[in-house]
Amino acid sequence: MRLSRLKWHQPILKWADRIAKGSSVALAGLSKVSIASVPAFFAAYLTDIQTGLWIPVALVAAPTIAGLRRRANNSNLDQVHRLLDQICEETFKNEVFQLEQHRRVTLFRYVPFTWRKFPFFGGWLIPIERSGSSTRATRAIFRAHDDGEQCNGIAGRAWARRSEIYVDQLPNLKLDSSDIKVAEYAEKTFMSVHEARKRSSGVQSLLGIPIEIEGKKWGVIVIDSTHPKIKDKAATKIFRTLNPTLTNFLKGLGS
Amino acid sequence: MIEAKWETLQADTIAPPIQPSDASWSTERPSPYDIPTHVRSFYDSASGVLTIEFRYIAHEELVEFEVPPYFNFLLGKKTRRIFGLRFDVHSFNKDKKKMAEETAKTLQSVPMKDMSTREITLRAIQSKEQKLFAEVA
Repeated sequence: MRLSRLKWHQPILKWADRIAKGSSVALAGLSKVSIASVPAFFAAYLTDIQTGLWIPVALVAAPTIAGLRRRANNSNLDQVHRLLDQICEETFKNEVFQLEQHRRVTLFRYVPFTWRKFPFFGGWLIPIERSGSSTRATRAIFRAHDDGEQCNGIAGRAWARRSEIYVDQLPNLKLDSSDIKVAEYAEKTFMSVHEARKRSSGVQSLLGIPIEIEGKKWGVIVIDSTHPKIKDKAATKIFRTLNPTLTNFLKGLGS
Repeated sequence: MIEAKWETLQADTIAPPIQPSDASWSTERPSPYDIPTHVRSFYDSASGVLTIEFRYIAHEELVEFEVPPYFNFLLGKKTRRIFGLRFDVHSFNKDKKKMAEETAKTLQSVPMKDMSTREITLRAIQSKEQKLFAEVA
């Protein structure tokens, strides 16, 4: 799953919206024109417009396109991205990383259904935004089932227990991916061995923080690092500070 | 009525991290939404009512909950977090120790979603007990 926002469809929707609105106004005007008052060559077209499906189609298309354009407006997600960057910056202040992807903040949102993961239904945590600009293609989707036993990953655990979960000193699978180390990594990150084997990014510490909106669970923020420890208190502190702003933007993402 | 300023609560003091028995390698803390960030109290000397209020990182609609004979609580409608409590200090002869004890005892009768919320509230009051009950002369 690629987290980059699809910016190319915005100009298309913008022009489609303008054309739909303009056509609606034109068709509304033409519907009032008397056929007898126009030249004969235009009368046939006017009859077609007034009696055909043009006007009902325009009445449906204009608000539909306007609605699509509103939904595609990613300004809230841009703001969320900035906040995740801020959380990342504060959490890893004064720490040196070789690459940006060695510390990340990922926002997961709860969805009851996704076609990306079998068995599709039953609750999932899907990534919707990540700090920085690298490693934005991610397949990390975690179970967030009603039955807490079925939840997996740090994200799933934080979701199920409605608590902040922190694990550190994880084995570095980039250096040693032996069966023993993979099994240890899997157990400590609440995943299956199969899932742990797929993740060889060298992440050695993880922090999951549940997110609520209006008293209801909404999703989870996961902070990961290739360093053996995360300054979890600093992360929680900045999260608590930014939460009101974050909540406002998350509300704006709609359903 | 004397209104006190908000006192900052230390998350680590009122909600210390635990190592869960099924995953002792991990550290678990209550959700940041369950931990009050601030507390304050104000005492109305005319009526003798002491009110203690809590602030969280997210606010919500509140409902009143009465625990007879002395206490009234303000709870979050959806989350059941404690946003406030009040009682008549005359019921305890203005004895601060009695008030603190009775508050702790009464908290047991308040319906909450989980036990940790109750413990967090109690620790929050205990951590600022001197200041919260200071105005009751």
